[in-house]
Amino acid sequence: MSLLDETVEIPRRTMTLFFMIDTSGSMAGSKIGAVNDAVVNVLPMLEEISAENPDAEIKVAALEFSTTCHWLYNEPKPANEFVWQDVQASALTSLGAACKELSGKLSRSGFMKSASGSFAPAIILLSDGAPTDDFESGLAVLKNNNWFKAAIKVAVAIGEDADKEVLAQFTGTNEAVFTVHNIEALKQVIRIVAVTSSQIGSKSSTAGDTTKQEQVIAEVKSAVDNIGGAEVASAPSSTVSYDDWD
Amino acid sequence: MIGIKCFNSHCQGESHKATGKPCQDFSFSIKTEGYAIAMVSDGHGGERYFRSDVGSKIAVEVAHRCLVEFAEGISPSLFADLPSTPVGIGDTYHPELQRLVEAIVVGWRNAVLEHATANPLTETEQLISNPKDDHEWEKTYGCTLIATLLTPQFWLAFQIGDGKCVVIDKEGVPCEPIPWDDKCFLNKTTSICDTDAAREFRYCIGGKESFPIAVFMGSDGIDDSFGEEENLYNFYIQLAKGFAKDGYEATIADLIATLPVLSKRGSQDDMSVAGWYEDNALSHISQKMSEWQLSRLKAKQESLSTKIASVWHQIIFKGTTKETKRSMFDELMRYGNEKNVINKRILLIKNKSENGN
Repeated sequence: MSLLDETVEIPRRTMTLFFMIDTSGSMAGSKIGAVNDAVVNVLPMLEEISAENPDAEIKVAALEFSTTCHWLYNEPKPANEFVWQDVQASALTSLGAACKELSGKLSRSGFMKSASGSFAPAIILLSDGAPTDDFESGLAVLKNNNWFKAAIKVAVAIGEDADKEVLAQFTGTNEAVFTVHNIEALKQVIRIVAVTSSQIGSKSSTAGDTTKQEQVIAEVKSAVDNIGGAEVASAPSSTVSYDDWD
Repeated sequence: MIGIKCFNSHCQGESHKATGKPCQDFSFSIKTEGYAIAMVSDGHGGERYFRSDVGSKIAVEVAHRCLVEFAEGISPSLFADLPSTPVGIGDTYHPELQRLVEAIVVGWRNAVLEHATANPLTETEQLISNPKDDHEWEKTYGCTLIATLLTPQFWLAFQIGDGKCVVIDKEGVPCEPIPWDDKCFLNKTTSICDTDAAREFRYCIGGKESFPIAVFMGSDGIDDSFGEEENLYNFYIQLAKGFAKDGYEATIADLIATLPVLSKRGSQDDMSVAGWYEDNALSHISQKMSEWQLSRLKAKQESLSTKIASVWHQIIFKGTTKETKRSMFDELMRYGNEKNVINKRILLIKNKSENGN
């Protein structure tokens, strides 16, 4: 009798990629249009990475937050089943509430499976402004969450008005905050961050004792250097940056 | 220990083969007239734990010595009537158990100090280690430990770090008797090299009435291969059924052949499994183990049927775009495939059960 016959399942592990998208009023127009466009275009790439990866299946979850928070699906979906429904921008920036909402789903009663069957998630936060609610208490809840502690966390600051200090608190380091100043840079950075996080986050091995977040930051940094209108948030401000959202 | 059989096996993981790392897991089991002992230890894989293969062997040797002293030195009636008692992090340890884990931690530290003294760090090793940390030499040997002891009067299973211990009770139902420690999460684990290691053990102890039929333990390479607990339980049930039907020798040979395959298909990590079981009783609960498996599969089947009905409801009664419809059909196909796999599994378990396995 074989110990590994069809009665025993050896599943692929799961890596969930979370998008947290600021849909407050200031995102209206070209910014939210670019986010919608970029995510629609990156989903087939994630599907491909997932299909080619024997170690892990990649699933996608998306939370939009303005005055309230809303999950696009009530469970993480494989990329081929995730149909992006364009999000609309209006009202306030309840990032604190979004942190609490995310923390609730980063649990086995929420979106996560057993830790044994999972890789740490990757979380991409996109925002163009500053929180209008109690961000600190929301982040405090999230920071106690084991999944969040282990996650790859990257933020994209959309324009100069984005509160990079807040985004750095979310990611744990200002090196994981990338600023974009125009539509094309926004689209490209979303794609690079999503693809790199998925590739690195869904691998079994890591490079020595470097964390996966550090590996993602290093790869995205080198890619961002070649994108006009994009920069690492901590970059020296000697270069004048212009926002161009038209 | 008449009627008790114990076993153990460990192997180098696929990723360790690829990178030239030694097997850092170690396993051990022994049975005498007075006790049965089985254990696994998993040396940490991180760069700074470059002597963890030695550390895991030392952990097993020291724990073996301490468990023998414990089994032989303790009053036979002390735990004989105790119901199965799980003790987690922060709970009060029984004084005898407190002494046992302290003896293991101190014994391990003394033994690794002895090894480190006899084998000073090489220049390359010194570059990796952190000279500012006074306990660095200990850390390089860091590992986890899961162990079980059975005497005629009581049974005990204890653990520091990750990996899982699974027992199968008289009703053929699997469960994890040792409380989990939330500090063990993803690739983070508590360790026998921690400063406060003696407070990081968890255990379960019980008297004669609470004896399980079988106890299994495996390093995290095993449970990471199976993901959800139910898959891990199915693997151990498969092993238990093997012992019951094919006998000890054939099943051990199967286990030894299986572990490298499991590492390749699963976590890629080192693999170690150990445990003991009551030989005659195991064949009596084979049917019950199958019933447990079938009940879980039927619950999954029902859950999938509900999901399928819900997607069809959305397709038929709710306005959806062409793209959404396509993704819903993808979803239906996934659920359908999952249901087919479950149906096949149900049939296989039923067939095997009818054939006495």
